[in-house]
Amino acid sequence: MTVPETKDHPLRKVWRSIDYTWYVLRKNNLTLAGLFMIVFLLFLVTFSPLIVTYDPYETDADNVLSPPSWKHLFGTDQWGRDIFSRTIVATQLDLFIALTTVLASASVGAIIGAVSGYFGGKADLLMQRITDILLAFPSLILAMGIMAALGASFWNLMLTQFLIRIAIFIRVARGEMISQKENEYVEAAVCAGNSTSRIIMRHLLPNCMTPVAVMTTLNFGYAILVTATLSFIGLGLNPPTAEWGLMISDGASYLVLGAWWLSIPGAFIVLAVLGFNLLGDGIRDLVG
Amino acid sequence: MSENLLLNVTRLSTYFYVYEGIMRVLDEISFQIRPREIFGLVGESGSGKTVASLSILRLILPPGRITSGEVIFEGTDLLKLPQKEFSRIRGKKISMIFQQSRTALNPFMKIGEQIARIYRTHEGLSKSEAMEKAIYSLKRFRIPEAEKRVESYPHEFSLGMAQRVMIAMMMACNPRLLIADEPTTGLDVTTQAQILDLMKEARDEMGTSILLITHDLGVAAQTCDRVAVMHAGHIVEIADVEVLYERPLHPYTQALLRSIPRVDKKVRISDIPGFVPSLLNPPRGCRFANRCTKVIQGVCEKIKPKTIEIDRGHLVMCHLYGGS
Amino acid sequence: MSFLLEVKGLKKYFIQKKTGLSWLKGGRGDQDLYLRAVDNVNFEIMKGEALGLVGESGCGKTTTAKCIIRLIEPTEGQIIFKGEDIANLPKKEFKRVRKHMQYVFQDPVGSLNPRMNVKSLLAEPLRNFGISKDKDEIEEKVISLLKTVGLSEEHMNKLPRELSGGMKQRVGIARAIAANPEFLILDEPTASLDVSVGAKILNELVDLQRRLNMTYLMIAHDLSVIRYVCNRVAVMYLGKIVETGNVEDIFSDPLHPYTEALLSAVPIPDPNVKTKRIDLKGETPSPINLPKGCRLQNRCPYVFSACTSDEPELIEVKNRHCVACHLRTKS
Repeated sequence: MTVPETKDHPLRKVWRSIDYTWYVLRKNNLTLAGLFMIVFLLFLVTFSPLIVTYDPYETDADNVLSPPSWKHLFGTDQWGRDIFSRTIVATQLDLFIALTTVLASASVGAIIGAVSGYFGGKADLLMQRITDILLAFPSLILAMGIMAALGASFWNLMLTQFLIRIAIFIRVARGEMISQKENEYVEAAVCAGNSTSRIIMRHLLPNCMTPVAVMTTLNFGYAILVTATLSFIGLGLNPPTAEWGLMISDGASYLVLGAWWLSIPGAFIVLAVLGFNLLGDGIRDLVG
Repeated sequence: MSENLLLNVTRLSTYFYVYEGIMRVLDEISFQIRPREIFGLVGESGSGKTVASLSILRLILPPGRITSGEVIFEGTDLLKLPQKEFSRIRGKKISMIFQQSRTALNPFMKIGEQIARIYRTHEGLSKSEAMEKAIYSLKRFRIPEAEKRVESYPHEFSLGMAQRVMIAMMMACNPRLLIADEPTTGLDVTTQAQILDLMKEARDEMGTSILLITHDLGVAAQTCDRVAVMHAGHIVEIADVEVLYERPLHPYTQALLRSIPRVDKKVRISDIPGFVPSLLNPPRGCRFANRCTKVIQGVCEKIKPKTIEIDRGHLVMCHLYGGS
Repeated sequence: MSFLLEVKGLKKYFIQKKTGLSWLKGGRGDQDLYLRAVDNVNFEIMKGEALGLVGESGCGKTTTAKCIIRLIEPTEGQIIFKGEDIANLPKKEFKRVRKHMQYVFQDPVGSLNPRMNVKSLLAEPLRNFGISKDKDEIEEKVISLLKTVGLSEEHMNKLPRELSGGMKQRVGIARAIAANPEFLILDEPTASLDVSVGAKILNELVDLQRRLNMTYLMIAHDLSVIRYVCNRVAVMYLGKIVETGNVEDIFSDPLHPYTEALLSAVPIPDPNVKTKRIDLKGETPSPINLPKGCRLQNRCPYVFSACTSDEPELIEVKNRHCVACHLRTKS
């Protein structure tokens, strides 16, 4: 029952929420570290046209397997391609795949889960059994199975990433919907004359998104690992694509000659996955 | 004022250090509770009454902190006691019950066991002796079929019964002071009347004093011996219960009494205009000044009123009665 | 006598599903399976009246109210609103009735969508019931609604969490009166508010009723609020109505033992007034295993033989003062 805020220029509200978010993040060093890691990677991606000096696919037979030097910051691989440029391009690719497929999976999964949870009944039970089946498989195994059946290619990988993840979002959204459904604002929305579809989409769904959002951030890291792992074993993207998993696979073959062909893309994977996980934990604490 | 005081709270302040700044939730409050007395702490939400009870019990966690004051219980300042010694007092000599006690009881333990444990820990009794005492305490607080009920779990009790179990548990060691924070809020009015009767019996038969915190002016009127009225972190008036309701001095007390409808007659009620000031940047003067109908312009907002004793035992914090 | 609302024989039974182990506790046939939340409730409200529905927790008052507005489907009974029985109307048809019958919820926090601002919340009934169509008209109407409940234009873009409890409740009231309903159900409108804030809301509700010519059904457990706002009262216990009458009659001369006990238990905010307490023994029994006869039989201080065999009917003993008690109705 305190004095309500009367000055509310819209920009002020935005600044306050940014400032408050920073205040909370600042308290947790790990989350801050995660944030910096992701910001660093995004920075590389944004300024890639300036940093990428070599064509990632251009071979140079005279310069194969050279160690890091001023000419090639990260050295060259077995085809003479500049690893630094390939790493930056790989960052773009891996991040793109992870972000788009997880977001797509989350959106579609949330809607399916919300609708299923709202109506309940036999359709909901059926949907739950389907998600049970999907969740019974460890997602990596499931991904390998789908890719083996469809064949390794970019769009198949995108589809697979989308499918292996959707079940958890359906589950999470449905759970939240079942609890949100009992709130009085739903009854109030009915009294105000709203149609059922409007109640689900405009009233309930936005309120179900909190756990979905947390799940989303926690899944980015895992999506990167899936891409890298599948490519590493040959069921993901194909050479000569510049992708972290493929680069590790190449590097592994030449491990006796040097470690950096393997460890550099490896370090980037660690950076990305750790960054997303720390950030995701922080967001979960912020929101929860 | 009798020197035989059970609890003497002097200039207690508790601040909360949050993102927006410092919230001065309690600002130098003082009050005394005598033995065998039911002392009411009345106020609306945000007045600080719950924080006051938590401060006495040293249950304030960061970002909150008790910044000044003394809480003298039976001659000892509780705030200065080392943690170990204080733990021996809290739970044994000073007990507390809160709203919706069913959630304060361990859901996995039978209630008989929970009460018996208190006897084993604080009085060193054996298992069977403690259980006997537990059954006796349930009987004393009118819980029917006590021998059977010791085997029940908290969720098997209704809210009213659970509250009684909580009282039985907290009175097990015969505490000198029981702090009850909104013990009947959420209960039906008939159950509420029974619980309040139980409290009066505890005072009469066991000599326990009770600090009863409530927002319900009817509950305070019918149960308490003395009442303190809180507003925005200040205690604005303290008096014996009849005096407070018949001759309220502070404008806030007067306004509060004018805002409650009655069940025994038809009355006119009026609200209190304005808003409680934010505790982040509270006014330097009286915190009721922006809403007071009797405000003295130029004085009340700037200068904090002193607490004056008008009659024996009737204290008020207001410029209208001197103290500037 | 033109009644705006007549409730006849309203019943709402909840089926208790027998779980695997519950049969071990033993059942005595069909009786155990039903939670009789509302059991044959009858009352009527005349246009312009304010009826208070009182009772303790679990008595069925909120269930009754939600049945009337079809937020809960009644098991049986008639609900005659403006001459039409709406109890069995299909959902689609009920929408046109909703315009005239609205609900103010008890919990201002839970009943406002935390992600919608005040303007969107108030615009919905305006749009859905065809009061206003285009954006400017809606905004005008929203501002006028806010003024009616004592808020202002600056609250339009705020989210519920930026408002105090009293303001939230007023938004709830504004939403309910947006479509100019004739009938308003108020569910404990001041229960979660501070005393001084509640006073303002109560005064506004009294004023609104007079100005907008509405009829109220107010649910409250706080009898003093009922006395302030309403002119008629119905007392419920365990799903049944035990007494109805004018506020002045019931509060000064209660006939039913339960009403007596309820009134005597209310703590009066005046230490010099000590009411003689009529104590009911024990606690309210569970609504599942109800005994034959009067539902108060195991707690009533005046219980006698008829009480355990026959259920008392609600009978008019004075002018519009009805009671369901063998003690009061035996002649």
